[in-house]
Amino acid sequence: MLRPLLFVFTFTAAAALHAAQPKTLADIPSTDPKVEQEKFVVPEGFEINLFASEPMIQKPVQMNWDAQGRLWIVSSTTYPHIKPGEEAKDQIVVLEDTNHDGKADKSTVFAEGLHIPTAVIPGDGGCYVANSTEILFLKDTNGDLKADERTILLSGFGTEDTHHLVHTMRFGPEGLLYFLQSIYIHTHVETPHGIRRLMGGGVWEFRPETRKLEIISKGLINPWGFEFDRWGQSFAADGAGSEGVNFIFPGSVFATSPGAKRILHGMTPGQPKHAGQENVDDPYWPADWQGSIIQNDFRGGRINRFTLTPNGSSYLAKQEKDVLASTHVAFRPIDLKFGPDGALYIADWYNPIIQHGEVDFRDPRRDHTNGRIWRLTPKGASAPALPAIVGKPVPELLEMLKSPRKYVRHFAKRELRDQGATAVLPALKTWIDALDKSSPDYEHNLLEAAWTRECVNKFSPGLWRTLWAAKDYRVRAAALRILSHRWRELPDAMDVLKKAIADENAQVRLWAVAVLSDMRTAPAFEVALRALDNPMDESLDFLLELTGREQADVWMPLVNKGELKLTNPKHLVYALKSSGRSEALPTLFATLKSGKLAAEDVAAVLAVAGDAADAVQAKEMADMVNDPAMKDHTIGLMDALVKAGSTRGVKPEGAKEIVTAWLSDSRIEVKHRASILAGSWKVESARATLEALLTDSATIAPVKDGALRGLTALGGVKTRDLFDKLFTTSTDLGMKSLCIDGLTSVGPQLAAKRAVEFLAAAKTAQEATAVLTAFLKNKQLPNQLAKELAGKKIPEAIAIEGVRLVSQRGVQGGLIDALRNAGGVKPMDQQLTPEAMTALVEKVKTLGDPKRGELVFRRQQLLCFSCHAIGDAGGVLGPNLVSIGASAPVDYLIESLINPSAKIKEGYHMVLVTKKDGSIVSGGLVQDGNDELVIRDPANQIQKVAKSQVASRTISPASMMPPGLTASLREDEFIDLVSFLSKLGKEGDFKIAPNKYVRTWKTMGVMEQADIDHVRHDGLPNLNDRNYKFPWNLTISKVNGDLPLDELPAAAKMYPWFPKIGQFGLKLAGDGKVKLGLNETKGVIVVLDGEEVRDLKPQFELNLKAGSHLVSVVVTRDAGELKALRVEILEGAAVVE
Amino acid sequence: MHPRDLRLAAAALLLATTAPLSAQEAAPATASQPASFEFKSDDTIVLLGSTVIEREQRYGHLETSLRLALGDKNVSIRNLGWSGDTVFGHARSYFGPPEEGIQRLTAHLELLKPDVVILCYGTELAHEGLSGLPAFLSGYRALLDLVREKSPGVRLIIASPPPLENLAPPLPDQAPANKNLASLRDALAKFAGSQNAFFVDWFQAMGGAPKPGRVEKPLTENGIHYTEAGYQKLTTKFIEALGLKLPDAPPTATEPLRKAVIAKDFLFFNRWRPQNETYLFGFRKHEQGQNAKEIPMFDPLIADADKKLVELKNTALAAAKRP
Repeated sequence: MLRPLLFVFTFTAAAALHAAQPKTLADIPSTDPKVEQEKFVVPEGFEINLFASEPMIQKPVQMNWDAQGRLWIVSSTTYPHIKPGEEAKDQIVVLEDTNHDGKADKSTVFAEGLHIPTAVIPGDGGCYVANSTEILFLKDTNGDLKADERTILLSGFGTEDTHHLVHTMRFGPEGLLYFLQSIYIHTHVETPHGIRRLMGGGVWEFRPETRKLEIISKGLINPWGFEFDRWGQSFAADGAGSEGVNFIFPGSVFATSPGAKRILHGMTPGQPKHAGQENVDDPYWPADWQGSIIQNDFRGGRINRFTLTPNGSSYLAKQEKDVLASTHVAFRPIDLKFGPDGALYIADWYNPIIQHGEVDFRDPRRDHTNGRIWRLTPKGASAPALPAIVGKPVPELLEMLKSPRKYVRHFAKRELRDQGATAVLPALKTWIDALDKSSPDYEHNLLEAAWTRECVNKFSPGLWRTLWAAKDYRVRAAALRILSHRWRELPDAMDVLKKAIADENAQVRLWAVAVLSDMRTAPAFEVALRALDNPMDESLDFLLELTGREQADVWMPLVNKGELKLTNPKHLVYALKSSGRSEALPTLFATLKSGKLAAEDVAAVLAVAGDAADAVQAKEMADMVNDPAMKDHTIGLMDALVKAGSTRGVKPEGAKEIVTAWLSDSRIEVKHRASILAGSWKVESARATLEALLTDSATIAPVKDGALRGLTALGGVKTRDLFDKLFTTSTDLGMKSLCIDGLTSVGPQLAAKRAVEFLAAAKTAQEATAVLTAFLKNKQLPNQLAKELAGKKIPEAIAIEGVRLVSQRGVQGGLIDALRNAGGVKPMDQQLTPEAMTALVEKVKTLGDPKRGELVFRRQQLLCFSCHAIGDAGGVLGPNLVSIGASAPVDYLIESLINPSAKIKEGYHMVLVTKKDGSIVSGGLVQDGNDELVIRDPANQIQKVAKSQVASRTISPASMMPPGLTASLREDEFIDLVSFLSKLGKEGDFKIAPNKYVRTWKTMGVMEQADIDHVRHDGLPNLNDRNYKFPWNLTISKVNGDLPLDELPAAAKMYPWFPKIGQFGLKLAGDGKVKLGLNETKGVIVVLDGEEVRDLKPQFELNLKAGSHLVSVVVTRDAGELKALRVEILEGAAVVE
Repeated sequence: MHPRDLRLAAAALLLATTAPLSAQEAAPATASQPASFEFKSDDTIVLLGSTVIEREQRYGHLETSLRLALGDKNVSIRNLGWSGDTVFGHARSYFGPPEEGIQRLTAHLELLKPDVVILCYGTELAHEGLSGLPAFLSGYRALLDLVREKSPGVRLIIASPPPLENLAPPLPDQAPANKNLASLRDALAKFAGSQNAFFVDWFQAMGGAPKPGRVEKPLTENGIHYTEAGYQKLTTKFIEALGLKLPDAPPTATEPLRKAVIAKDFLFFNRWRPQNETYLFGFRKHEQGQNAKEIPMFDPLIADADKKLVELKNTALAAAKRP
């Protein structure tokens, strides 16, 4: 028999050693490039070869080609941190393949003496380099390919984290320079146009000749990839955001941008860490690859590919099969570019470990010398001819704009830019005039011509108008992107935009809003609001709302003065709501009273009222509640009053009379809200009524709850004594908990006393949760409870639940110890000796069974899935584990399970917010807005805290993952669990396949007779009855996509099917076909919404309307011993919800 | 009237009452200001400001010349310039509000204990306009109060930001910005007087607002940031304004000194503004804070570099004395 795991860990005080660092470097693989090459998993039809390796190139970080076909690489051996006394020694290296055999044969150090440079791009007769705090322009003036002139172009970029430094330099199709920065960077740049400041991640856009520097997008955690498609739309990768491909347009804001009130999301959530991005636009590669996006997963050692489908103004992305994979732990693809020969070049940073946030700066396993460039090519396809571009005459360069190869078009434009406007413009006109208007590429050729003019910084209104008249919406959208830089130079821009805002295509409308937003005038905003006259979607709504909010100072005074007339009530409500300001309320109330608002607009008005109303407006709302003509809005108005009263203490004049009248109202919903308001408005005279409501056994639960809240808010000795009396006299456990909760506000000491009595008598952890949680809402209460627990006894299970809740919320102080003492819980040992760690690591490798480990991971009581996802299914509180095995060493995994606080993943720190009223909210920071903080608490609930209520905010050194979750495991189970985790994301059975399997299921729990009857009486479609509460459980599929049926409760006794049942939702943005695949059809019935799918085949198609659908899969007795169910979305723009 | 114009008018009114000077005229030397600023042996001199100060460390001219001009008086010079910084500490804050920047600056002042602080702030008003001038001056006052509190007896030098240049289009016309800077200079002259600080009219010393039209031989790279040649002139004018005289040492003797200044500045930069602050001292120090032990290891290296600067300065001075 195996001993429990705890005995394996020796109790030791010698805790200085780092668990994540093994004593030897035995894990480090051979650095021979041949060994690395053998570990590639190259898909059929492709081949890979080594283009360059050390010493020609070391530690490549970013690379870009020049028009001559030379590869410029920025290399840092200093990363992650300069040593005291070490000189700046990092380099720009230029690689050349002079004999065109696919291998670099010449390496030139163009520049050195750099300090952790993170981006390079050749252009404009030199190269741009991101060098920590600065962006440099380095130039070779004598032709020896060595920089001899250095200009500081921009300075003031932050360096708070060296893997976040300004990075990813790219020229857009219009010749502008783009670069990005990551989450911890705070940048302040003085430019000839004023200071630009960017806090956190974002995308910079720079025109070198005017030195105009702008921020076009904010947020993302590590946006280490950025690229344009053939039509000039831009997309970013994220090295930590885990949402795959992100659609970037001016004004877009993504996760973690400080001050953001609202954010957009990536298109493929559940993705691992990406760096580098390319858009396939070269006929050398397979036809079905064209237009798709490829990104490196540097953690899993893979290259992913995504295809995009237009969806409203944005896109849907679908992951395809990997472009490349490797089982070598040091393969770190961090950049990739298509080369002059059409091949895909992959910069391999080569390192057994990544990161320096979780792994020591000076970890001996860190590689500082190696680096490779790999070259992937399609087998058998005929390689394109190497283009000759530099020095070619303008007409020849212009012809190259028709090339089907992005490389050729791109560098032809770079060369045209270098030759200058005077040389280019006359020939360009001739070229445009001679274009074949019947060619399918005509409009794209025109677009290239317009981009060429942008490259030489000479806008032509005439050419622009031709472009704008294009039939292809993608060209019209691109035309508007150009206009976003040029509207000042187009006299009738506003007339054009009035047409554009009503364009039949949503993406064109999105770009119209982007241009109008950039204008920052009230009339422009009025035109932008017309977007509401056509279908809206997430991106459109985001940008329009952002414009309304950020430019409220521009347009709102004019609306309030009546100088800007928004005659359409929908436009008016939207605009005022977007402002989120109380000045908007008088006008909003007027529209509400007019009775012309749609239901959703009413909800919008009331939401603003709750957030922003002042005392005068609260009075007006109370009057509306009393106005019979407004009776449809009674509840909404009262809820808004409750919100305003309880969060901001807003109280109308005449509060006493108002609330007294409402308390005697016969409507329960009014009485309930009035009880709460009586408290928040401090109407002492209502106390007796509230007490009566609370003690009267006939009072229904909601009203009781309202009375309790009201009395709590009224406070004082009277409330305290009442709660205490009720606690003592009541036999109802729910009532007792409520009383303790109430007491914590009015008599903390007494509350603690009663709580200990309650806990001592509690039978189950569930019973105790509410009481324990009540003591975690501020900083004083935990100490109060700890003091009261001293010398007392409570059941062990209750104490364990308490420890879990307290540590999850990051509460410091003595409560954990007090609970342990009172419950007789032994402390978990959190430290392994180095020897024990080495032994355990060895056991994981030799004895661990990842298949058994997956079953351990899935156990309910371990709670893994409640916080962690693997791929796109599971909790979001903790890091996604999709490729944890490919990046984290085994010792790191073990340490993280035993002592979760030792290393905490970027972005998963717990914040502790103390509000001005003393209460505490803790959890993961979802959004740090200007006005409010959005926090995901340990119960996975979203909590919003107004910034004005925040007294202090700290980042907890403790992990949200409670220690001791694995304490109940036997050693063999623990070893299997680690083995499973260590395989996640590595090539093999535990790598999430790109297939869109349904991974998030609701599965039927144990059915009561009533549940069975509800189905039997009306048939299986009743399973999709959203109004009936079946005992559904959330179940996540296994890594391979299987829903294991043996984990479900025994088949329900439901004649004639005797089924096991799973259900999932499908959501579509527009009407469309969805093709599903099923692993088994025998004995399986599929019910879509209200109907069974007839004639079920292993692959079947559904015609679905836009919106949400329910699909139930019923595995009947006839299915026999079916082990697992697997459903795949084969085609169609549907997402599982 | 447009609200923005109103604010401008208010600012203009303020200027009219506090600094009755036309924008294009040179500010008169403050009546009480002596002809030269007195440095003492072993002074620790701190440079504080935005990009114009920060970039000095790339070229090293100011420190090189100051050391030479001070002859036998040996000083140490530390550049705390930060691109985009304001008197409110905007650029010095990371995750928090500007006040966090002031806290960071406070720690640096406590570390360095300066005897002399040279400040050049206010460039942002060139483009943001003068409506922010009153707030700027009260912010400046608070900053000087802080410096004095941390270093009792500290002597202050306030420099007005140097003028911008009108380079060829498509670079923008900086004439309106220069007008703002001229007004700012006037306000700073008066402010320095009221603060008992030595005032350097860098704006005027560098030629004041340029005449209409393009600059023929630009000293800036982009109209606002000075090139190396620009820093040479900035240095010459600054030394003159301090009432100091530069010995005539040959470049063969001054260049090694200047290179050593740049090397020392690089060491010091990695000491006071190290990369990876998030892990070393910030909210993730519980993970990689153990690496922070390396940061004070720069101190002896910087002290050695300072000693080397003294030797190189003495060599250069000896070369200057030889005819």
